[in-house]
Amino acid sequence: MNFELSDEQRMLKDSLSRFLSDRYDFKARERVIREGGLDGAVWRGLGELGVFALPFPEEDGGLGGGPVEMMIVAEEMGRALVVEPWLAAIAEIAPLLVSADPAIRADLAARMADGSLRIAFAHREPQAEAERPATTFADGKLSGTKARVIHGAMADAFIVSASVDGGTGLFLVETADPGVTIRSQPTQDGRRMAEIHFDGAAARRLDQGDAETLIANAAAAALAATCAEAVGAMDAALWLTTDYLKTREQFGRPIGTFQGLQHQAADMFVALEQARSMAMYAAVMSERTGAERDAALSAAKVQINRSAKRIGQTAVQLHGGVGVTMEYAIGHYFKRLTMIELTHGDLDHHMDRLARLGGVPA
Amino acid sequence: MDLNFTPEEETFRQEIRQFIADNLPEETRRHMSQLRPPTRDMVHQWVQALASRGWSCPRWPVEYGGPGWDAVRQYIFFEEIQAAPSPDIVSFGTNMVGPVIFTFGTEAQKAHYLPKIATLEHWWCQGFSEPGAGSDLAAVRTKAVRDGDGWVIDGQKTWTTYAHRANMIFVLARTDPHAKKQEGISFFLVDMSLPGVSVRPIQTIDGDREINEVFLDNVRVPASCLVGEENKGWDYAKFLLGNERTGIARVGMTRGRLQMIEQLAAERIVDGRPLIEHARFRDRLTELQVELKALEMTVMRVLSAEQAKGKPNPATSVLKLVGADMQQRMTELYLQVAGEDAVAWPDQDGTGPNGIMGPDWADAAPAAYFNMRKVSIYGGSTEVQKNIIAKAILGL
Repeated sequence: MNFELSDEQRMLKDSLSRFLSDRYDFKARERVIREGGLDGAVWRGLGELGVFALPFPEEDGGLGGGPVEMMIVAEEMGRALVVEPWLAAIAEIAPLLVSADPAIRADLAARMADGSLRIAFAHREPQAEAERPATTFADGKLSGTKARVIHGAMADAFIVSASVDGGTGLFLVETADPGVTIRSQPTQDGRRMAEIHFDGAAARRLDQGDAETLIANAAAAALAATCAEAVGAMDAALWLTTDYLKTREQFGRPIGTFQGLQHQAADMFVALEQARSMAMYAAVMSERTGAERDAALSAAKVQINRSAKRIGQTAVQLHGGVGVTMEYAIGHYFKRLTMIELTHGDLDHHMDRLARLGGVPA
Repeated sequence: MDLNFTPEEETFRQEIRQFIADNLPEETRRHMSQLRPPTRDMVHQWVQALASRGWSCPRWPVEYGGPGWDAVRQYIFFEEIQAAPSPDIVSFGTNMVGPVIFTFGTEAQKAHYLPKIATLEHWWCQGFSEPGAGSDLAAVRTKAVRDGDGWVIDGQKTWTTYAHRANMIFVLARTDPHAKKQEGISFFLVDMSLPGVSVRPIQTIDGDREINEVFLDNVRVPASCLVGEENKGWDYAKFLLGNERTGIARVGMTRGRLQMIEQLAAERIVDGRPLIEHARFRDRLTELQVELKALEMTVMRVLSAEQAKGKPNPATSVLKLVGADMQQRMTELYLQVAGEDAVAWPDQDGTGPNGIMGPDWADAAPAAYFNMRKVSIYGGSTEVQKNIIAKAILGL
């Protein structure tokens, strides 16, 4: 049993943390959001740090990182509230490519690793998910509508889930294809998401009939990374709040000297440590399979959601008026944490799934 | 990062389990699993069994008669005996005063006291709290005055758990009335059979009498009863209180009882169907399981950091605070499973647990619920732990 990071992992954490604190402060982030949600120089810089190559196997030119490395990256992204779609364009995509034709896979991995190719996973549909996608594939053409695709309008290509031959398949579609129409809109947390309409778009199948497994693996990887991202955001929110408590004065003294506020800050710390524990648990358990993995990840998300709500709401409360303004960072942390609560399965979804799977694994 | 225990640690766990299977009487196990306080005989039998294996002082190094386990093995041991469930070993002796004696005591004190702790020949209780010194422990007023080559101790202690079973008490007493609050306190080892020591039990809201007032009425003790230096008792008390770290979360205890509660809830029919199938009950149970898993991971992180860096972690306050909350919420579920059967109050004339109607555990549930309110009060209340987090970790 060992919860310490290796030297390589610590180096990864330190270099990414340094890069983001130099390049991605609150003002820089505001500018990125104004200019469309992706800064080319930041994106290239992340690529140079090896962040994009991490999840790909070494034989495809990647770094062969595991879930702990992904956890480290996600936490730093969360701490800086990075809006660039690392999770949606890289972390969630890599598991979808595992069974693809080796030549295609190596080509995609190489271009994703250096930051020159961004893929979005077009999976969710406007209606609540049915057993199979309403989007269909036949004779090399794909048709249907996908919704809530994060960074859909900034992607170079999509991986699309579609019904085929009575099952589900995964298909690669170029965004430039004339059969693709993209409608993009901003999100609460400074990102962009899109609704994408496919009308007979040219599509190439990627999976080997194992699409459902690949989709579940991608969801697990994304969920584990999201838990870690939330921990980074919660950690930053806590320290922003304690800094504020030490500097803001009322009644002639720093408000952090009032016990009523100190105890709320202590509650935030407890919520953070419990969440951090479960993000680590999620990372390690995301490599398992089946019900054990799913139950463990649901347990993690339940804790993350509870902690995120407690920390986000308390942080805003302790900041007082500035906490509810767009001009101050803390409100943006709260908004991001709230969106994390709602996505990758909300509290009730994961409580249900846990009960169905027989509770938290021993 | 690796959440798995090593094969050697897993073998060790099996060894502990086998020992429990061979040595913990079924009657004790059943009694404890209902969350009843152990009888004196149950504690005695269990400590003797552990002592015969050399395990009754699991945190002690080999040179003082302990097994010399590292922090991970200690953790596994406590997890397993709490989950079994067995009676707690008498921690006032093994985890509290024992380490104070072998760290600060004289050779003569070590030779005299330590072997008697291991066999429970000395059953220790803790003379810290006083009517005017609870969370503000340094406000103790019990005083010790030099008298020839000994001391005379005079004062009153309270909330003294199991003082009625104990024959030894360690006492914080003021030896310099003029010094600053924390600086005039000394640490004494007192034989409770000495003239002037008397014990009055206090009945708690669960019906039990496990806590007491202890009166020290001009008790004359020899100089050899003073631990370490005069007026340094506060340092030893802080050492003692900081000594038990990862065990205070009591994850094994809560997990073991939650499994029992889940089973009872599957058997308990409420409004025509098993309680476990009621969504609201199920949700509460699931929430608790999740937070308990998080707490288990937090305990292991603290352990891992201690192993790696060799220093205690202020996050220990989180373990105490969350651990107390888990134990209390577990007993809330227990109470809910008992439902209306929990309304009965057992006859106080000792007709025993089966003197009431309902299942044989029904009276244990409200008792456990009321009893467990203490865990967020003792050992540094939840509010004190939050003060520690705010100051030591958050810098407020």
